[in-house]
Amino acid sequence: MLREELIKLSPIRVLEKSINGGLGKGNLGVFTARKGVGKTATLVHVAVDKLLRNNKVIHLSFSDNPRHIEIWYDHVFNEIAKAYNLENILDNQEQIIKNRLIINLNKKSTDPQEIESVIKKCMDGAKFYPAMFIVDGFSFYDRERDDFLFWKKFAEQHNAEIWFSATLHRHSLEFDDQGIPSPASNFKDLFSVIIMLEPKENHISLKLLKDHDNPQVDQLKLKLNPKTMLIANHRV
Amino acid sequence: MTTDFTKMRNIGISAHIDSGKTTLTERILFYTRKIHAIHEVRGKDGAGATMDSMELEKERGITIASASTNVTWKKHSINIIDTPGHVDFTVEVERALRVLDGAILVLCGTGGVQSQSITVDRQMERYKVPRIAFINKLDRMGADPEKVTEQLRDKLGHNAVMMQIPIGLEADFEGVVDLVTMKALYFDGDNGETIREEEIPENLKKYALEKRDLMLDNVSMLNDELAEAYLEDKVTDDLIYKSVREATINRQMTPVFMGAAFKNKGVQPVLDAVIKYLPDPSEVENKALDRDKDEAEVILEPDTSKPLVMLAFKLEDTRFGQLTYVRIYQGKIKKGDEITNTRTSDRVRVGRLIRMHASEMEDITEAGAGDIVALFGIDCATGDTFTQSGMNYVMTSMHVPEPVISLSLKPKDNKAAENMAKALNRFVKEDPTFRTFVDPETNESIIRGMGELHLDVYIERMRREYGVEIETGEPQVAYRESISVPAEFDYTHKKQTGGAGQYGRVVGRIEPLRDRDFDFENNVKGGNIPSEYISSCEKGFKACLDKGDLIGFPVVGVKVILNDGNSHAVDSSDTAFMHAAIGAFRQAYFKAKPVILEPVMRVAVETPSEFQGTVLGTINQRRGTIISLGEEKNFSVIEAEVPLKEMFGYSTVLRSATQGKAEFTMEFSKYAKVPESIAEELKKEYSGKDKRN
Repeated sequence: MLREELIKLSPIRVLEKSINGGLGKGNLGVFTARKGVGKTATLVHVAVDKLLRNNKVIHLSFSDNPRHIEIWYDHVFNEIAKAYNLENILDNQEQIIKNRLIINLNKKSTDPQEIESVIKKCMDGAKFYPAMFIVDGFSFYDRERDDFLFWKKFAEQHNAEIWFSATLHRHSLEFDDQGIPSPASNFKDLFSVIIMLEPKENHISLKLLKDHDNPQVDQLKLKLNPKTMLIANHRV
Repeated sequence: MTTDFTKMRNIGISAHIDSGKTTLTERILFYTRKIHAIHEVRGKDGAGATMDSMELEKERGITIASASTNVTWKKHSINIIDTPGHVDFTVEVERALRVLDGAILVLCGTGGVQSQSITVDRQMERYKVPRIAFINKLDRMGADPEKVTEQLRDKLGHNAVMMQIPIGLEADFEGVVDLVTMKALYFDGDNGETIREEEIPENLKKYALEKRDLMLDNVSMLNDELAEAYLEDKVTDDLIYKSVREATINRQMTPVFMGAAFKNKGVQPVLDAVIKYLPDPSEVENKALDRDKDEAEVILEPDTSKPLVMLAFKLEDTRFGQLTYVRIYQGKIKKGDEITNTRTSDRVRVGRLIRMHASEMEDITEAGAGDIVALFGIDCATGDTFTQSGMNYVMTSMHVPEPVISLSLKPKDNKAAENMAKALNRFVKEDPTFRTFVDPETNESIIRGMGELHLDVYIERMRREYGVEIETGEPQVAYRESISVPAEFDYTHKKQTGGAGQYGRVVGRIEPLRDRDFDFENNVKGGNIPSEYISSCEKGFKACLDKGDLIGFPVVGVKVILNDGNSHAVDSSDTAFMHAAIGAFRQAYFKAKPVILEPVMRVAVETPSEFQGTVLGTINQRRGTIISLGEEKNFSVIEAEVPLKEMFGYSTVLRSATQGKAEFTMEFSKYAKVPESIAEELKKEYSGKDKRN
């Protein structure tokens, strides 16, 4: 299958349809779940889709092992290539690498000014201005509203979409009236899209909890395949 | 042999080129009565400084090989290892740092923290080596020890604390004020060998008090006992020494001293500081790995009664044979003892045991834990661990930077080739970052090293010491060919013109294969190709992979699927089907849209953040792709993928672009398609060569 076809058939199109055409530039989105459920895999699949469409993506890492992220991208790409029998694999892989930049941020760094300064320096230095940021591993616990206001402003300034992952801790799991879990619920007004990953018997379901300002939230017909860790269509 | 560890020190002197550390070492040797006359490093009297043993070093005015020497100062036995300051010789500094307990960081009073100071300091950090700083050349114009101390704080992140202040500067530099004893020190005699203590000059009293307060302020933040005494105005010299020692050994501070070694001023206090503030062998924790327990960590005890554990950290080929420098971490060795190399399991007998003094040797009968000595007649490699009593320990391997530059060598004739092989063998044993191999594809001898200067020195050594004349050039890049789309073949090999004929027909396709070089699948049914000829088909296809039709380089990533064929009862044979396969491959090859691949390297650059943009530029100019960026303290870490062809000469480019402050490593990552323009060039070049042949 050619790349163009793959893009058309990608389950990310299903996701976009359900959220008003996509996250949208200048907006924040979050995948939230307990540890180990599949947030990173989901984020990376969203990123790979963007990269295959020839857009630039910056992946912000807060881990000690940045090569770990490259492994995730390799894995997701290889699974996609296998699943869709993708042609011109070398070329497509090159495209992903060229369009993606990983920025390693210090885990201990919490100061938004510092984070912004490092990111901007890297972007200007590498002349790399992305359409999407992936922020994986930025803890939502012990955060002030200002921390996320910063990201919202950042997304608007750079005319980009920003997708987050938010780990839920078992001990402090609470849900608001929209079914949005804390701590994400504390900042929900700053997020345009909130999706929760819920482990089921043999798949992980993606549950749409917030869709921009839409009072009627669609049922996402998507799941995460636990074997391939790819987002896939799901017949409900 | 002393077993009082408190009276032992193992130290190194590390610094940037031309900061005067060899002069400093020379002065130390003189004041500790190891030499009887002072020779300048590039002196007018024709003799070089004692520490620079090699002729080459004397000529270039630089120190190449690390030399070690033992001195005695105020009843303390100090092993000093002098280390070179060039980026290209990093392995020498790394090796020395592995076996030392403390170091003196020498800085130029005018140049301050320079390029190599940064690299060397990072190395000391890596090995957690406590250090004191010596700001040298205060007699030079523009000398500013306060500014240099600030730089130690700003550029290297040290908690640098001045323990002295200068009395005069530049031409007026006379001596130093010790901020602990609050006395002025002057260095009298022809060679500054007599220290005269006086009251602090009136005009410096206020400044001295200020700086002393600053020093006490700083140190008392690190020591409660001193803090209390400071508050109660009950500070004693001993308490200061104790607190500074503790803080220095814990690497919470770097005490700063100063002087002008060339003018014989300020050296003896540095020796005092080595004794006062740098650790003895029992104060440094050293670990080994127990191979018998799955490489579990074991803490070594600097106890001469325990079983021997020692590390060979430097080899030198002398006219008496190989000299092996060792650091004894535990136990002791005596002449005649049998010891085991835990890497090779070889048992060797300790022959001659030497205590080194630059290029002179002193025979000794035994040496114990905490000491650094040398052995003759032990065949081993750098990094080998020796033990006794059946212990299967290895010291953790030394961090050896990967070579980053390579050159091809062409000896002028057979005699030169022979001598070159001898020379390369020796260099490889002495220096783990110098590597050599014969490229199986091009048959060239390739040498790899840390920088152009590093390789230059070896080439010159080959010329001088082995009489080898060689030509050098760029090694050839090992390209590959591959296919990008499936392509069918249907090929008949026929030779039926009378006599024994040949016949074989093969039908199938070739397709791109990831992750492997070659695969063969046989789907022939009904015996259309007799099974006994299938392996010949495979052989034929495989034979085509050695040299592709695009540019004559090996073909990789091809799967052959054999679906059908025909045979002849008489004329079919192994040979016939092999030729059929070869023909089939050639037929399908260009239909499969072959491409040229080049090796791509994973390049990791560590640079001070101020140069991040510049470095990114150098990578972008080399068809590189930035993979990741990171920030650590004031350093940026850049990971990129860059074609090998573009990396030749990069070490020089990077050094110039970053004032020598950046480091990089490079390792093979993968093969990737070359851009169209390069592919066309290569194809043209190949067809030109082909026509000529």
